[in-house]
Amino acid sequence: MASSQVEVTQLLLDWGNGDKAALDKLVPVVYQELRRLARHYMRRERPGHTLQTSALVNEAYMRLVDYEHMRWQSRAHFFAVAAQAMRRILVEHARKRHFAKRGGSAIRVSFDEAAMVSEKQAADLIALDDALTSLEAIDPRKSRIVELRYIGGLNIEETAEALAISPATVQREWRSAKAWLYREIKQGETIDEA
Amino acid sequence: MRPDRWRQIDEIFQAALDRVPAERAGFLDHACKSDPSLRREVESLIDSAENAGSFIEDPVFKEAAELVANSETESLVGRQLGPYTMTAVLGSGGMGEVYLAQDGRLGRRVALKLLPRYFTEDEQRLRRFQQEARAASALNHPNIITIFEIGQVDSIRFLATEYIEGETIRQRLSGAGFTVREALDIAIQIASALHAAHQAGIIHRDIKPENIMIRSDGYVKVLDFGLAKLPDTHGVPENTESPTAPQVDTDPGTVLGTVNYMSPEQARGSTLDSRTDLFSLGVVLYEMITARPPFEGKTAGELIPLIVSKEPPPLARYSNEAPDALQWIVTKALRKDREERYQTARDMMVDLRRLKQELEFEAARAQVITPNTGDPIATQTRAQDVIDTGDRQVIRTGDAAALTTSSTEVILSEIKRHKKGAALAAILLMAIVVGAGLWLNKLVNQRARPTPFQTMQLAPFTAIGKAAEAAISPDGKYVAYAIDDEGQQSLWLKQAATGSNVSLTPPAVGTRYRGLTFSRDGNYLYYLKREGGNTRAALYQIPTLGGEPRKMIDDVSTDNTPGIVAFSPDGKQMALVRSAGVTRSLLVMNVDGSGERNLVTAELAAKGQFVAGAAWSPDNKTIACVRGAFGFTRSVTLLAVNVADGVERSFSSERWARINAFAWLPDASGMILSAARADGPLQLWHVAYPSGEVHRITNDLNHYFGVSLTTDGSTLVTVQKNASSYLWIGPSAEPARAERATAESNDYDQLCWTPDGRIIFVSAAGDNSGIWSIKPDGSGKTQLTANAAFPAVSADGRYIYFSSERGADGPGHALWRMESDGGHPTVLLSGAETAACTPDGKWVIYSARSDRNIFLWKLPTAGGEPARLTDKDIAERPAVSPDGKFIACNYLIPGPNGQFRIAIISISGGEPVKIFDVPSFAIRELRWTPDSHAITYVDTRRSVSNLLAQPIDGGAPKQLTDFQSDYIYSWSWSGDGKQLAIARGAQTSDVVLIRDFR
Repeated sequence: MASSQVEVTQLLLDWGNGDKAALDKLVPVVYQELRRLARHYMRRERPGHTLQTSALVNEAYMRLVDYEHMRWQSRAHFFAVAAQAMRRILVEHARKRHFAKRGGSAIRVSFDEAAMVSEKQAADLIALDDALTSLEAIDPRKSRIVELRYIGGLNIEETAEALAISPATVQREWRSAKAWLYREIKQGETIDEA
Repeated sequence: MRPDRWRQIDEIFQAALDRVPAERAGFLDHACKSDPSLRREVESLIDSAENAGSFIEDPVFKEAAELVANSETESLVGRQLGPYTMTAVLGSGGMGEVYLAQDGRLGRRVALKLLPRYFTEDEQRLRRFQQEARAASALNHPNIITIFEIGQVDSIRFLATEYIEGETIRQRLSGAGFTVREALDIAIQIASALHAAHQAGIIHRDIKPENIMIRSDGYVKVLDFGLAKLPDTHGVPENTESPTAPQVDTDPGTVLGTVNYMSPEQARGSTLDSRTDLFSLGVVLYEMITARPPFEGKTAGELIPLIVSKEPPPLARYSNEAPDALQWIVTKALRKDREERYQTARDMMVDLRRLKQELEFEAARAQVITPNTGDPIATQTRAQDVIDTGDRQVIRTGDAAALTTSSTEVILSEIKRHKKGAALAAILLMAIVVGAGLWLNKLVNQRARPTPFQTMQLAPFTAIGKAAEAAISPDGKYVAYAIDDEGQQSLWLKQAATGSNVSLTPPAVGTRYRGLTFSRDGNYLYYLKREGGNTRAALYQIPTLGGEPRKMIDDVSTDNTPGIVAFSPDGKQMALVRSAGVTRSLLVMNVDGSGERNLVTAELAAKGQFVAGAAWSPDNKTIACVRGAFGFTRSVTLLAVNVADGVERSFSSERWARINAFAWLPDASGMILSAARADGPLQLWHVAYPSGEVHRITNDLNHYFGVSLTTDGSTLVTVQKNASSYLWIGPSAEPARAERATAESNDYDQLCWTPDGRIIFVSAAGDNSGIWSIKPDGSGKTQLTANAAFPAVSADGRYIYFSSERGADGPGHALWRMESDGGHPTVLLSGAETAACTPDGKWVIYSARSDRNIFLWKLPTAGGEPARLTDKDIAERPAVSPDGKFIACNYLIPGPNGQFRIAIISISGGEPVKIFDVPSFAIRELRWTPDSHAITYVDTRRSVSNLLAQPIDGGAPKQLTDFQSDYIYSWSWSGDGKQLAIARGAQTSDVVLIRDFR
């Protein structure tokens, strides 16, 4: 078995069985693998070429999980984990960037000009993250669908498989989640501006 | 919004969107007809849906992936966070960053750890974390990093801690590494930190080289207390127990890093308690010594099974410097079953500290004899030993073979040659006295008096301090030994050449091993195992090179002397003593237990007689055994039994108080014996055969348990038990501030002060036993009288009362009086034991045996008849309160399971006015506190003694001292109550190898 497979597999099972702590332990492992793979792809791909996102996660999954011995749901769990890892990474980064900008110190923050998340994107991401957290409180599945699709980069079918629901349900839930989040963020902006 | 409300909105929203826009208003009229707020909600959502456009339709994954790929995240160096200015990055991982920052308010540098957002989002978890971090910040301990603040600025939460300049154990491991002493020093400090944390109910759970900083001044700081379980939702330890799941490091760079240091219960995901930290400390200690982790695997999947079930390789495989005791400590810390592990950090700390002291002592001794590092001797100091025999001492340096027989000559000439010869000689001689407890004049005299055993060399084989029994294999390659750790015994096998040490049986409560013997071919170790309170043992056999123990024979006797099992020279037969009811029989049988033949029988019932032990002579003619009678002193003799016909004859006419063990010399010219002539310690003797002539081999204060010889007779293995005792003097109010008054160890017992500020004590030190006087600064040590004990100083300081065997009519003691300088000793009366003086100077209180009881009496000091104070039960060792009102004594009400308790009796006698229920099987020394409010006694737990004070008006006993090591032998307050003298010391027991003892 490849590196970390046993622990990731076990953690996925734990998480699937409702152990929230397992997620905290999975994220760093998944993060590390995604990062490694992403770097690998980035070096190979031409600039501007879009990463095949689900391929990346799939590959991470194959590497990290003893998939032959897992229930099929574990793959879905893994995708959800990957999406959550991504979300954390993004938001963490965005928050820091946002903070650094607003900090207003005389010393210029040395940040990578090539950083992919623009200032506007950073603010948006933070807002979205907050809104997603609110949505999760009233409708966890919709929050998960957004995570998988928007952050995890899965299409409708993949999302459906990951959550063990029909693609039609994903579509329906997606549209109300999107509306809800959009409204939440707009309202937030309005209040901020007021 | 409540989830059910949202569900309602969502349903209507979906249904509305399923309709064409024109139909929606009508649908909503119907669906929300009685709920205008519901309609507003749905309409605003529909509005959002129509305006959202491409919102979140393009996955952000691409950016995320790119970000992940380029995630050398931007630094906050130079930025301000509240009062802190970040000046440098100290470290970062995927889930958190640490900055060096300047606190603008206090001008101090701090380490600032930024908590990852996802972590702080979960309020419940955050609360638990804060709770724990606060608890950890309350830990005020020099070896625990100080937490200054748990704070928040904007959305960033952080932890400000003490900034430590130094390196982590991990950094040092990849650099210079550690010497054994450094590793010990660091481990002691970690154990001390853990002790404090565990006391406060905090488990670290993540002790690893990355989490321990070594400051440049040598101070060790344990990091991340309270942070250790940052990624754990299960949270707070309650009663130091809390569940956890297998934990992976939060730092993506070292995913497997933590697994290496996990305890088996952690790896299994079981409930954790504080003992998990002790396992992890064991792993860290192992790695500091060997520069590699005890369990090695590439993945957690490989590692976890090793942690759960595999014993790590012995330290000796990777380190030539690791002493046995360290192996032992590490093994105990790394026990898979936490019940067999160190139970508290303090226990581990005590063992580590003891070992460190031993090593320091050895090093100091080595320095003393190696003044000039260019010398051949100086190059060989590492294994230098002090050798003692009855009549001479030899200091052996390095490999014995490298030196001629007269090592002493070499060293003495070395001393003479040296410029600072005289001073050096003094130090050397002192070191010898300290080391061996012997007198230096023997060293000076030795060349003039050549004796047998002239070239004896004694070398420590273990340095555990807890050895109980030992045996050497016939070829001398292995030594098997038992360790007694606070009543838990375990068996070990150590290879003499490599020092590799293997555990044969795990420690078990109530199990005692005796009579360790190798089979003649060395393939098996035989031992007697006694369980519970059973005096009869079972004989077991275990393969020397690994395997399961097998029970061979039940009911082997172990009374009085160890039930040694002896093998015939051809190895086909064995001799042992069987216990059957009131009969003890010396039997010979085949090694498989068949063909049993009775050689000697003793009837316990008729005469209280027993036979014990067996040693088969190399010429196959004679089996030596012990015959004795219970209940009398000096009543044990050695027998020589003819193997062929069982005819007995006396081996030697010497009568012994105790014989512990014996073994034949290979030429059948005699035996080596571990025995005591009187109450003194068990010593080694040579008894010639058939002449029966006795020669003393050792003459010191140590006990020697067991005698085991190699087939060629070149090497003898025994267990040497050594008790040190020093005098400590300190202010009564703060016994912790006591200082050691005496440089050398002696036997200090039964302390009492004189009104003029001297301390009277009793020493049972060999030829010098008796009552002595010393000044509190350790000077002016003088012997007042010999063969005497239990001194009591009169209130005016003029007389010392004591008891002695001298002057007694029959067995027992007599009460004596002498002047305080030892002059004019006078016998006052026979049959009296321990005495105490009343503060008015009018009476001496003493105990005396009367048939089956022991009563208290008082004797007028001005002369006259004694008067009886008690008339029932057993009252011993009286102590009179300083106010003169009460007598405290050891009190036993005869009956089954009778134990001594502490009784308070009026000075005028009668029944006890109070009995405190602090049971003890042994008679205790008792001392009143100077204010007469409490009675104090020694409480010893896990080899550590402290003083307890029992208030006489009731209530719980109060602990007066907080010693972490050593036994207390005696203590006494000065007449003005301001000073407290305490005699304290350690007891160690180790396997020693003796060569050239003939």
